[in-house]
Amino acid sequence: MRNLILFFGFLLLLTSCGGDDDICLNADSTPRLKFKFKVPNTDSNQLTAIDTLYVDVDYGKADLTNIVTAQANVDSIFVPMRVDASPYTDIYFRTRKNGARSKLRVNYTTKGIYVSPACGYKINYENLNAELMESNPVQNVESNYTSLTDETRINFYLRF
Amino acid sequence: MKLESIFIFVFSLFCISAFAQNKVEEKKSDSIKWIYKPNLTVGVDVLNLGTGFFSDRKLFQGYVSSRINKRVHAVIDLGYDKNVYQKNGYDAKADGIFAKVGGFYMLSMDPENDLNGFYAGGKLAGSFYKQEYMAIPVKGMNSEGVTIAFDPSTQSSYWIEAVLGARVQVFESNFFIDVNLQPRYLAYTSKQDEIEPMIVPGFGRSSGSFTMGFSWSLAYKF
Repeated sequence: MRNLILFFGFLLLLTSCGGDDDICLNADSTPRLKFKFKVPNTDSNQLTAIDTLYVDVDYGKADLTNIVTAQANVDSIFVPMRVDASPYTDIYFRTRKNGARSKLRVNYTTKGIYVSPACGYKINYENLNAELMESNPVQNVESNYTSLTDETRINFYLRF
Repeated sequence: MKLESIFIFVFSLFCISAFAQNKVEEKKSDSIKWIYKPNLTVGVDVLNLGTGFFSDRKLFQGYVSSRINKRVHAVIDLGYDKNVYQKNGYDAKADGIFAKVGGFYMLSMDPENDLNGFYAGGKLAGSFYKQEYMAIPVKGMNSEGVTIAFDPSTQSSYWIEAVLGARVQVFESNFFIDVNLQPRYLAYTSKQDEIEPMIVPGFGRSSGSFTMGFSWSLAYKF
């Protein structure tokens, strides 16, 4: 009889534990856009690095969000894009803190993919295309891979 | 939430004092042959009924059980559950009916009263409900508070349930207090657009497959 009561007590203890519905490991989140850089003023496909780079993104908030700040010798960058209903994300590039700023608008169609109870949804992007709205310091943008479902492929090449 | 906890605490104290009046002892031998006579016990879960006044979850459940031999009882549960889930960017609600069919075995009985004692058993359960996910979070870096909404839909879920409990007669009346724990395992659930349901009426939080239920019923034996 005493054992039974202990057993019930133990089961009650088990019930007081919380659920596992709030732990989302970031492994399967919305993928980020991948950029690489090509040497300027030529048609060559040689890749290069940028000596200093600043990247800001407009997420529809009051201010731009800084993604890359004064990173030296950058050869590739990942930029998270908007996951709301907006059909484009504006990305701003600078090579000097107070220098000229290029505006790149990336248009796409989005598709919601269900991940898990804790993580909810992630977004996959299709039909990516970029238009350069302000072309200094970025001179040119080259599309490489137009869908974004994971972070393995390069989506755009930039020429500064 | 705090009121709900206090309510459960007071109820537990009351429950312990009810047990204290009954000294249950193991019977040495069962020599008397037991013959089935039509009998029914009807119970209503008063703890969850009361908790419903203080929380978002409204759970009404009751059962009908019948003793089919000396130690085995058959039982059918019916209930209605209405619940919301508002956490981590989710905003969902679900409500519907559920039913459980099963039996339990008296592990130890009071020698003076066959109906008092501890029991264990199992049940199969199903729930048929309406759900609406007003918001499911979208995970992306630097983007907080973005959600996707879905239209209401009708779904069903099925689970297996173990039951561990005790039944005690209230003095000399036909009333019984029946307390039990119900560890549950969600076996199958229908889904809307592949979304795992966060709440299932009668089952509880369903993001994991395992939950524990508790009921404190007042029963009447006919």
